[in-house]
Amino acid sequence: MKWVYQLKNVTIERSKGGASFRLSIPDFQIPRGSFTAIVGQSGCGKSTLLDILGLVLPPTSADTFNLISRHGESFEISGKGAKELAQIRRQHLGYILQSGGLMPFLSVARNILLARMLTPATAMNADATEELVFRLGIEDQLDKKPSQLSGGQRQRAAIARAVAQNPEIILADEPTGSVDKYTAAKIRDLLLGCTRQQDIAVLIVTHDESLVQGIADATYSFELSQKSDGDLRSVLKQIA
Amino acid sequence: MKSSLHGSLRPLPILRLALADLRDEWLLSLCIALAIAAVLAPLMILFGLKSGAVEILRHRLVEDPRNREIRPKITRTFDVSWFQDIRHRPDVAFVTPLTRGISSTVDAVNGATGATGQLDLSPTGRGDALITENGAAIPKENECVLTAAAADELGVKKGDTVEIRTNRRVQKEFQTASLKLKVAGILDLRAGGAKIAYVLLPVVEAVEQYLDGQSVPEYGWTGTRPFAHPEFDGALLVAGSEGLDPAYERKAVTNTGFVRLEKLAASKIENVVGFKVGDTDQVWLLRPAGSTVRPENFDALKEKLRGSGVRILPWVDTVSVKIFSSDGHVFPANIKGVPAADAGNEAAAFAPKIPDARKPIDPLPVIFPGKGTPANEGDSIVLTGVGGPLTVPVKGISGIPAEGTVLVPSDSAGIFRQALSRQVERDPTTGEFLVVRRGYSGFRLFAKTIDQVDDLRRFLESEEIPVFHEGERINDVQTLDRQLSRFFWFIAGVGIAGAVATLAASLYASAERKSYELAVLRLLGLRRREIIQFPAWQGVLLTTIGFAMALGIYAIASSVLGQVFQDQLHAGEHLTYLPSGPVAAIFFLLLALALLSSLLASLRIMHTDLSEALREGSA
Repeated sequence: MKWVYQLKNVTIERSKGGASFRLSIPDFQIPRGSFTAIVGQSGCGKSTLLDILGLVLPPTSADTFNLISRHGESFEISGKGAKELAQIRRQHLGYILQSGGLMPFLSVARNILLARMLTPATAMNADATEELVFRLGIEDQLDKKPSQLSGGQRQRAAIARAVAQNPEIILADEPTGSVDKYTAAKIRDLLLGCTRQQDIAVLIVTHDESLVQGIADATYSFELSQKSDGDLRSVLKQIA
Repeated sequence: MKSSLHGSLRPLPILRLALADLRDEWLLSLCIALAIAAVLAPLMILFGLKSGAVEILRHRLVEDPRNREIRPKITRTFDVSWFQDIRHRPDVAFVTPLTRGISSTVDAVNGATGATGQLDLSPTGRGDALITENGAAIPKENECVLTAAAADELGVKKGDTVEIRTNRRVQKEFQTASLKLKVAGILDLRAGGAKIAYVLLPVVEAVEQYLDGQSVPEYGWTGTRPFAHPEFDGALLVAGSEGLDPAYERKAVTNTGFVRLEKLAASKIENVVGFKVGDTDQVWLLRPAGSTVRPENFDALKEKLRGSGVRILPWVDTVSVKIFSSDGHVFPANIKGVPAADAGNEAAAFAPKIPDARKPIDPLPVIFPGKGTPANEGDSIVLTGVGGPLTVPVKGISGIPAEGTVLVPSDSAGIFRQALSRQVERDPTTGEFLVVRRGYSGFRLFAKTIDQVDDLRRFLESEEIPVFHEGERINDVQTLDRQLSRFFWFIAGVGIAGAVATLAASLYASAERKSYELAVLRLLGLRRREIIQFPAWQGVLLTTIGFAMALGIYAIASSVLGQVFQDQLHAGEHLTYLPSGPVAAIFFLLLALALLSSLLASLRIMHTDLSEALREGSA
């Protein structure tokens, strides 16, 4: 099997209000083109895991922490400097944030063009992007600013930007957190439809387990425990 | 149809992002730019007024040639060579000699109406800025340029004729000379309020000559000529064997102009006198109080020594000449005088005989060394005197002078002696010896620029010539410029600090407000140097827009001020003037400070935790 991410015995420790939080990732792989879901209650470590995978937070320790490109190039993440991590993020990772993460001062079209600015060599060309935009149903919203869009339209635009970048994996942090269930399901389907076609893996972090139930290729959650001194321990476990 | 997805964010993607953000928040951007303009515009107006006012004063100083004029405070003789030297200085634009003040005042009459007035004559010439920069051309011969006051007095205009008249008294008789001059131009009021007629130097010299009793043939003015008068270094008293009574010795040095009497040793007599005297004759040398004596001193001496039996001979000490013989030989010799051998001149009884009854045009009779060999036709004596050689044709006669001596009539020896201290020339048509003008009593001088006035003043004062000049006015303006500059830079410093604070605060706040967007850009993989460019470009753009708005406000204010004060301004003058150098310097300083403040803001943002920035931004 081809992987996008391979993590073994990765831990991170953070302090929160005097107590410490330790997240352990014993064994975690994301296959290419797969749909992986991370579910769990607030404070269990979903966002911390996303920050590790998004190369925003360096783990405290890791036996293996690799990102593998579709060309088979493997990047050992541990020990990489800020400049190299930024380059990897730019080339291989796509993001969809809870509020979309669009630039409010750019039109939808220009937000999508950001992808081409970031990765001119690998990003979708204009025609493919146009097709993507049609597929996402935001072709009439291209000249609007994000503030002029509904929550669902904004997330579709964010999907368009992330997919147009043509990364190895899209990390989606509660992408449906601000929309109703119907719209959430539609966004999920659009996201899956677009990424599968491009062989892009998707990792979605959501508190709404029903959104990914029966659809995700793999679902992970956290086993949370609190020690006597108040320190929290969380371990990532596959639940489906 | 191509959609907007076919566009690009290249080139300069970060600039495009920064610009898009400013456009998106155009109202806020406008407010920041206006805040910068509000601080800068008054500074620019202040700087413009300061530069403009000083420039107007400076321009008026430069424009008015009187401010470049230098005149001596004292009257002394400035010889021709002095003028030649100073004319060659690189900082001198024009210099002209002045005649004596008393001889430059003339009566003037309007040729048409008969209106009269009294004018000062002042010399002018090519390069005289007072004339050329005040609306007139340099007058030609028989022309004059009048000041406005002089023209008013006489009621003349350009093209009219003015007759100048000057009066003298010769032997109780009043005499008048006049000259008609065409008015070639009338000077602007700026040239001064005095009643002056500017004419070429020869006209002023002619008036002075006339008042000195001399003739000016060019204008038909009669009078004498400036004859050279003999000068002597002393007198020789030749007595017989009985010697000179001591009472006469005292008389000889009492009120005669002579002060020192010295009896010559017998061995020195021939050498001092220039020829042999009688074997038993005794000779005394009388020297004057000053450097030379003139014929009137001899009259007094003769009176004092009447009845003493001594013979009095004018004496010149060392007057070296060269004798040019017609056969091409040149002999150096020393001139001594011999009394004329005319009938009744007992002083000449013992001396070699040189006849003096001759016309001035005739060759000068001389006794040459070399056993009295007569000179040939075409021989001459040349004396290198002050101002050039004095060449006199001579005719040799018999006689034996002392070794190395050439004997000439005493009066001629005196003329040669005078040529050592004053320029003497021989009129080739009459043979008369004439003194050439010694020099001038003053000058009018113009520096090339006002900045050179002080250098010239220092030079002239180093030559002990105190001068009148406008250095103080020039210094006043320069001091005013310096003081205003200090005031301006103080206010500008405070103002620029305000502008910088406004700019820094605005850019810092702007970068802070953009922390979520900048975090997203970081997440998307923009590098640190790209992220830093975002607020930096915004700082550059806002500063440039604010600066341009300030320039616009300045331009409007400058135009309004120009309209309000137009009555006080001359043609081509601007009340406000913004020199490009300092303005560009301020602009680039502001840009640098804007970059610095945006860099500080973005560095702070770069140091915040990316995940926290993303969470806070999406919360």
